[in-house]
Amino acid sequence: MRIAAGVITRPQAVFALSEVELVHFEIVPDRLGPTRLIDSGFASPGRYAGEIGRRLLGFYPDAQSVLALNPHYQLSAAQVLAVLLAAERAELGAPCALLYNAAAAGGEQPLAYWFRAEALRACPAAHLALLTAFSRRADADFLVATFGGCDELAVGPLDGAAQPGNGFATVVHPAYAQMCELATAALRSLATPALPRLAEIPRVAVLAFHAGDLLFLVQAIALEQAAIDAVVVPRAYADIIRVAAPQLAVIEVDHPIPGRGSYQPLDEAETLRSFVAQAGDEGLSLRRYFHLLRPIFRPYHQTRAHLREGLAFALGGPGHQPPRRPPELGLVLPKLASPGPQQRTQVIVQLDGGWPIKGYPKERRGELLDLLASYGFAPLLLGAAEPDAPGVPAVPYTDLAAYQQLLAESAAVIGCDSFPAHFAAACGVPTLTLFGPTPPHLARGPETRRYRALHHPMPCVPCHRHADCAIDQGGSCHAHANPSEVVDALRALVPDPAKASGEP
Amino acid sequence: MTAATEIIPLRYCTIARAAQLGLAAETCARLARACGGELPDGFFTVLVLEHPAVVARLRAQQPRLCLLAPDQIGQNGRIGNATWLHLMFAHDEHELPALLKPALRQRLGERVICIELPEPSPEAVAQHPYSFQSFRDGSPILPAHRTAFRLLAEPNRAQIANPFLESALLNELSRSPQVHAQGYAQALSRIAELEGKLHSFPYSLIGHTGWAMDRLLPGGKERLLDAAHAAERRYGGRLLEKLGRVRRLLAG
Repeated sequence: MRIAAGVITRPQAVFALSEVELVHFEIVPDRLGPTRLIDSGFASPGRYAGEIGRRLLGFYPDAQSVLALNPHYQLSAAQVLAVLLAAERAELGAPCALLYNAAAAGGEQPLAYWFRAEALRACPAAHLALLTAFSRRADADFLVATFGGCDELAVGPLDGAAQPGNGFATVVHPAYAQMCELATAALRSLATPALPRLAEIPRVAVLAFHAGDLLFLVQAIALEQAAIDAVVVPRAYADIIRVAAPQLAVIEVDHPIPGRGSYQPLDEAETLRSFVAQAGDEGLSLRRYFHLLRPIFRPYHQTRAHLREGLAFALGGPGHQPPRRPPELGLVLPKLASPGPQQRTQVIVQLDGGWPIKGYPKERRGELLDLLASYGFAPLLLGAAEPDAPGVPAVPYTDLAAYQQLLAESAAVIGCDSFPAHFAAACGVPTLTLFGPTPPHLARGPETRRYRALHHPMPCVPCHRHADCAIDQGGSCHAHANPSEVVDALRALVPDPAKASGEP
Repeated sequence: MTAATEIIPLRYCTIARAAQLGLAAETCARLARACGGELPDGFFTVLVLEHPAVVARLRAQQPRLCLLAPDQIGQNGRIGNATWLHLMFAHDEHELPALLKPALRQRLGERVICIELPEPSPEAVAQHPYSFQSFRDGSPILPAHRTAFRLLAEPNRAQIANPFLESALLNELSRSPQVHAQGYAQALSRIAELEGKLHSFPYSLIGHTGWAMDRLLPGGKERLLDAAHAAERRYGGRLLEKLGRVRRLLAG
């Protein structure tokens, strides 16, 4: 067999070509496997094309070349056959080739990427993530700069333009073409072909929101030992990277944070592009690879994989099943002489999320805080004070150092699916995460005795609404645990203050 | 001084469907008569091309035969669940004996003599329908289904735990134009294979010529079988080897 080919689609037809073997891949929410790829909201179509190539090399070590059909498009059986025949009949001389749809307007649609096996073996999996998968010109230039040459081969006649599919309907955005062009410029400045020297160009992850996702990004980099040198983040989140991943350079940009004030991002791709532009305005050389990890390429709620695993895949990891334990980040909290962990009664309670419906129901907050106090805990609200519990102290979240100090003084943390709870769990502090409209599998903490996730599974979860419930149009989510369940779970995590102090 | 002659007991095997087990038992009895004396363990082994549950039931009905199920052959004496299910699906009952013979020989040892049985009678087929002729939902498995399964890339086949449960998928795949093209090519190769079988010595004599003789002269097949077995026993099961040597001498 000369060409090992791969396409993302459920098998609908079989092909018996003398020179080509076609493997069907699927993007699936769970039950991953050799041909079943993780559904990652952070991974670009180019990343999936690279992964197809990598797996094909594993299946067919003797294949002379590899053909990855573009995951951006949902191709019919006839279109797939046309691509395979074109690849089989062509005499390709360059190390790689781009097969495009001559019937599409301007011949712009890249239908497949062909690589000589030895060229693809030498290319890191994350590198091809920078392919746009929608711009033939940008992709061809990028491939020429990387491999030293790229043949362009018309496929056809096809019956019109190929249609976007596989969940990648929203990837056509100038931001991705621009990042591809920046990478191409960086590669050209190095050498042509740049393939042997790809590692000399800094690789930068760009992730705007939210703080919890940034923590998962750091964990993903540690898990995969991904070749990421720097992270671009809003200034308010910079300390998260500095504390959790001191080896990474941090490029700070000014940008409002969703959930703080009334700001909600409308075009996240544009937001990320503006981050890169801002970094350039401040003197950062743009001769880098910028991996835009938001907006979500694919609807994030389809997957059952942890966000950390989705990020790890986007950065070049193979995608794992079952999920791995989160890596140790070496997070150290300030040491306190007293009280000791057993004597602490303070419990940090953080009840707001990145958007209103994600937070714990307002009508139950007073009851929860009263119940905590009745068992001897001393709740401390992180964020705004609660009108229903005026006696409970509240401290605003200011920065990570102050939060680490609070963690050191506390017995446990109760928090919504948000950064404070995720960070506490990563530090090993007993943590209870309250999930509502977001499914726990995306962000739950480690399977240890110090961690519990509480959630009432409901068919409407995950829900796409930000401010009100789809069931009753109320302001809170019914999937949250009730106060007694929360307190019972907390008592299973940490000793009862009443018992610890010897009270009856 | 003459070296003591080591007598290695002969053993026989065949690959058969349940409908052919009557023929296998008949052949076994005939061979036993020709060998005489005490028969070795596993004197006549039959790899039964039926579901292992069916084979387990048949063992009780055929105590003289050593019956193996499809999941009992392979490199380490057993092959994986997916492997034998895939094999039984990918090939029909006519293709499987040739495919499985090497694995059976490997399990039983190279000195075992493989016998090809004639086709079963229509009555026997009606009495013992082939296990692997239909999907679990009862719909028949057509040659196009088997071809489509074979044409799937190996990594995709490996993802199918049990193809007998995948009638919807394989129905869809079997409509591929490539499947029909493969069907014609397969039919042509089958004709060549049958022609080859008719001319292969000596089992063609037992299986086909003998069958024809029996039709013309009742009892003729049995005499032929006895003669063949006696000759084989006399030459220590190396008849073909000796014939080959004679041919080479004549050619030289």
